Order: sequence, then C-alpha cells, then structure tokens
Amino acid sequence: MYEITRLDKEIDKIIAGKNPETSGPLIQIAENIACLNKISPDKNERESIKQAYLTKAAEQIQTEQTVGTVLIRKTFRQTWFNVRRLAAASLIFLMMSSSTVYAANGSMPDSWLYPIKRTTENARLSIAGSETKTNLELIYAKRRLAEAKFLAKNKPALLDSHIDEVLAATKTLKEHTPRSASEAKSIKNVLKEVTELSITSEKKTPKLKKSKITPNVPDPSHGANEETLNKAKIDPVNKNGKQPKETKTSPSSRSR
Amino acid sequence: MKNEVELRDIVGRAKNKDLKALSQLYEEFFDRIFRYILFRVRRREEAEDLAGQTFLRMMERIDTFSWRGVGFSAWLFRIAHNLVVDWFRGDHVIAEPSDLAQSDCDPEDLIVADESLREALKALAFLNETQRQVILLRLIGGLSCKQTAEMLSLSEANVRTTQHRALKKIRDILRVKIDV
Repeated sequence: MYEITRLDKEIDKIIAGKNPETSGPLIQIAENIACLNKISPDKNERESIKQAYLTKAAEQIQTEQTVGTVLIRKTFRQTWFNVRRLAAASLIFLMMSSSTVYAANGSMPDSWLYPIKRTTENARLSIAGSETKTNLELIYAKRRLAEAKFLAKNKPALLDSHIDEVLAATKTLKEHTPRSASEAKSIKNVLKEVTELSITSEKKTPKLKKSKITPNVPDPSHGANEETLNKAKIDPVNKNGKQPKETKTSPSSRSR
Repeated sequence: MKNEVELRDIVGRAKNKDLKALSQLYEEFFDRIFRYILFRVRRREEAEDLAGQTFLRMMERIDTFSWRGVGFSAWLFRIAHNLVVDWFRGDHVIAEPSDLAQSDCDPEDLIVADESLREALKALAFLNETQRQVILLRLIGGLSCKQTAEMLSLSEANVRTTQHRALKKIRDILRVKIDV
C-alpha cells in the first residue's frame, strides 16, 4: 500500500515536470512514458485546426447573436402589437362607454338608456364626499322632478311608476340641513313642486292616491287573523293602484 | 499549466462565448488532448482530426458544463474519450501491438530516440483498457489522480492501484523481452 501511494506521489512530480525523489524500475517506466509528451502535433496542422475552430466559434457566436436579436425583435414587435391592440380596444371601450353615459345623461324614464343614467348617478353618489353628495342629491331630485313633469306632459301612463322614484329622491332632501339660504330655497321649491305634482298625479289617476293611503297588507306570518287577511285580499285596489283583473279568494272564504 | 483560479476565469469567459477565452483553452489543452487520442488511435491524422472535433464539441456544449461535478480537464478528456469510442465503433481497427511499427504513428516519426521509450510505447498496447486509460490520462493527459478517478468513475484508491499494476505489467513485459 505504501509503495502504491509513494508511486502516485512520484508520478505527480513527474507530471509537474519535477525530478522524483526516489528511483526504481516503475518510476523509471513512468518517466519514460511521460517523455512521450515530447510528441507534438504538426505545427501547421495545429494552427489550421485552431483557425477552423475559432472560425466555427465566431460563426456560432454570430448565429446566436443574430437569433437572439431576431428573437428580441420578434418579441418586442409582438409585445408592441399587443399593447397597441389593447390600447385601441381600451380606447374604443372608453369612447363607447363615455358616449353611452353622455347619451344616457339626457335620457328619460321611457328610454333604454335610463338604467345606465341611474347606475351612473348611484356610482357617483357612492364615491362622493358628504358635501358633494348633498349637491348631487339636490341635482338628482331636480332631475327626477323634470322627468316626472316630462312624463306628466308626454306619457302620463308612465307617471305612476315613476312617482315613487321622485318621492324617494326628495325624501333624502328633507333630511338635509341646508347650508345656505339659496340651497334651502332650492330644496323648498323642489319639495313644493313634488307635492304639487303628486296632487296633480292623484287627480289624474285617483287610484294612485288610494293605493298610497291603503294600509299595508298584514303579513300572515306575523299572526294576523284570517278576517283581516281576507279583507286585504278582496280590496279592489292593490298596492300599485291598479285594479286586478280577477280576484282570487281562498277556498275557505268561498265556503263562507 | 494554468492553475485552478485562472482556469475557472477562462472557462467562465468561454461560457459567455468569448473568442479569446476559447483560444486560450485551445492553447492550454490541445496538445494534451492530441497525445491522449494519438496513443489511443495510433494514427496522427486521425488524432489531429479527433482533437479538433473535441474542441468543436466543447464549444457547443460548454454551456452545459458546471463545476459541481467533474473538473474542466476531466470533462474535456471525457469528450475526447467519447469521440475515440465513436471512432472505434466506425469500423476503425486499432493497430496490433506487433504492427505498431507499420502504423501511421511510427515511433521513429514521433521523435522518440530512446529504445526503452519505444518499448514502453509498445508495452502500452498490452495493457487492458482501464490500465491504458489510467496511464494515458495520468502521464500523457497530465490529470491528477482525483481528475482521473472522476473521468473514469473510479475511486482514487482504485486509480492508484490500477496505475501501479499497469506499470508493473509494463516492467514485466520489458523484462521478458530483455530476457529473451
């Protein structure tokens, strides 16, 4: 074992070009074999192989760079195309939505754009601060009033369904404390006009008034007695102020 | 021979396709690779060809090389070894020991004047594959015991024992020849 290790160390010295410390037939053979390192490739051949190798390396580097550049260009072009497409789509969407909202602003309750108008108003109210909210509520109440006037003049049949919207809009106005005399006056005028409109509406469609003063139908789940329930059921005017075509009665009431 | 730090720097630059670093690697290893292949295939032209191919393959695959496994020298010699194995598979027949003098790689051409050296060269042909590999990688390729072990997937102790046995075998062959 010692001989194997010692031989290995001596071989390391021979490889490093140093003289071995010990001698012997095995070390001598190793030295002789190491002398084969004197053999060299033909100088010209070595140089031509090197040139071929470096040329090939340069070509490969060039190809990789070209492929890399093309890939980068292609990726950039693709990304730029996508960005442009997205921008165009966003612009179209923005234009369409803004123009729709703009168009919806002037719509009346009979228009298909009216829900968009109300949604936009609600969205604005939800993000508005307390001061702006009061202003907006006043503006929207005026709008509801204008819409009601329009309906009263042009489409009286639709006024009934719209009057609740007007009342709801003015209800919040009543709860506000006006910040200035002009605001108080403005609110007062609106409320006055709403009252007048309600009266006019009731005169035109008396069922509306009746429906509004009709007590609510008691909830059977809250233990109301059967008699009260039946009275409510045979009431010819329903909550919306419309006459039902056919009044259905329960089998128990028929038997009576 | 470059030290480990210098070699790491050169290989690092070569991985980034630095032509100068690739050239430095060629200068550092070409002759050793050429000799290793020459003593395997025993044909000078083929050895030069295969050595050139070794460097081309190295250039193509240097991206995949990492210092975690074998060292760079062992990695490069493994490429050369694989090319030699492929060369043998391609209907190439290695010259018989007795025919060595008639082969392309005539000892006279190798500027080997010493008679005992010429005999040693002949004796290499009598070693088994592992022994020949160990002797060539250690004494011709200049690899350390550890690098040789990494390249041949052997333990260092195994490499030491194999080289000891190989040299003893050569000594025995030479002794018989002298006796005869």
